[in-house]
Amino acid sequence: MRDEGGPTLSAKARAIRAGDVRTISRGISGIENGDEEMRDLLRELYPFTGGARVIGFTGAPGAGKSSVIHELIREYLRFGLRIAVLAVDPTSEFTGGGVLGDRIRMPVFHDHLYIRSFGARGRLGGLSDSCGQVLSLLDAAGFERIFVETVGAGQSEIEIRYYADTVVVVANPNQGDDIQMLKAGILEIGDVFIVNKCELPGADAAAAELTKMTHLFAKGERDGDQIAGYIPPVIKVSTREKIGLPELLNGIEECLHYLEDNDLLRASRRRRVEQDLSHTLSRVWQNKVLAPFKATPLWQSLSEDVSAARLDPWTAGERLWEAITAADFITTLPQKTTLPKKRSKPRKE
Amino acid sequence: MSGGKIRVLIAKVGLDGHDVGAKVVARGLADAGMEVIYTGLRQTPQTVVKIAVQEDVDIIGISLLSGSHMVFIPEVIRLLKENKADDIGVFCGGVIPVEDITELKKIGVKDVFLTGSNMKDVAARAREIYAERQELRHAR
Repeated sequence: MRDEGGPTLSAKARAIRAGDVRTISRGISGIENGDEEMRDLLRELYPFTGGARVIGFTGAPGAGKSSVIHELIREYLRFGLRIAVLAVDPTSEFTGGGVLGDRIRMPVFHDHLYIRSFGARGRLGGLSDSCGQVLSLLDAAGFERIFVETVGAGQSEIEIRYYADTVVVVANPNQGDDIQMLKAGILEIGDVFIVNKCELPGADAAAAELTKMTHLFAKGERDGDQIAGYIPPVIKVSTREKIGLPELLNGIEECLHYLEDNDLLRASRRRRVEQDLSHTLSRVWQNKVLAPFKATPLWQSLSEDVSAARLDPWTAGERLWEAITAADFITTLPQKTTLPKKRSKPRKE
Repeated sequence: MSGGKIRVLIAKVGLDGHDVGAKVVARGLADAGMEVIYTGLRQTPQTVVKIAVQEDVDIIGISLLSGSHMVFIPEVIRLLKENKADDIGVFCGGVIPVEDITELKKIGVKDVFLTGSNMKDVAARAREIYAERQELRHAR
């Protein structure tokens, strides 16, 4: 039995440590909605993090990320590991809504498995800024492997680099020649490459092309970490024909071992922490400084001047910066700094 | 920072192979600003409730065209109670005889939308159910 943290923890924190699905689910909603009480809960849970390994999955829409995760879940469950899946899907910039459809490809239920669909909610990067907090919660809940599926387009492919210990890139046959591989930039983020739908023609060529590239461009370092000697594997997978799945599990686990043996997991955790800290700071900056600053006469009059072309935006920017760096700046801000928020009352259990 | 967002699970249960209606409702609710998760075809009441709990949805919308609504819907509601998740609101739609509507509402179904229902009404009702649920949670 895992250490559930003793009687000093709150009831909620203990329930999460014990893996109670309902409390975990509500906790994630709380984080997504920015509920204030979540900060206390995460403070309690944070010391219990560090056991999970985060595996990111990225690749073009339709490449088969969800299907690959589905098959991989089954492989992992055979080893008795506890698995969580965060399936991120895009939500509309206009309405804020969306159909989160990854889960439909993962029709599997098990006591050791938790799947959660995640709306990107229009935030930069596709991975919402609550991603780091949700990962901490799942980590503290005792999940040993956390699969994060990205929306598969744009910035999220780069952002997953910060959150995942290892990144799996899902490619397909006939995605183009070696020049496409070069310009797509996917070589920079992948630790494990797979050619999914390998029952289709062109799979061998695509795998050979990728292998050549990984050897040519095998990096001596990744985001400043020395990982000399590691060449990402290229694995042919077919989720339809059930080909290559044990090999994929091995590829991922070997990469994790490699990182562990070379003391690089600590580096990836550090990377995640820095990302989280900068997100947190941006949020504080946005709410406590920028929002009230916009209500000051200085901001308003400068905006007016720039609109009327009496002043250029760059000079105005510098004047604003001068005001910010003044010693008494914070005291000049209007006091009412909280923005109206829905669901501000704490949810009671 | 985002406020609370309404999360809805659209579910198909039993041997019922047509889901155009379910998909239209899923899309309609998404267009109304909600996050919608769709179970896919031929689920059991057990899997529907498991997904609802894992996803922390506010509402489950069940679509039925097979005539088995008086079997599956009471079972979903019973399982929600068993899992202490009966604060999740349930509505249903599809091919349902009008004489069954009273009985369905009696066992706790919030609303029944027959073919030809207006998407705006469904979205408005979903918002009401969500508001009721928020109150219920605060009261507990």
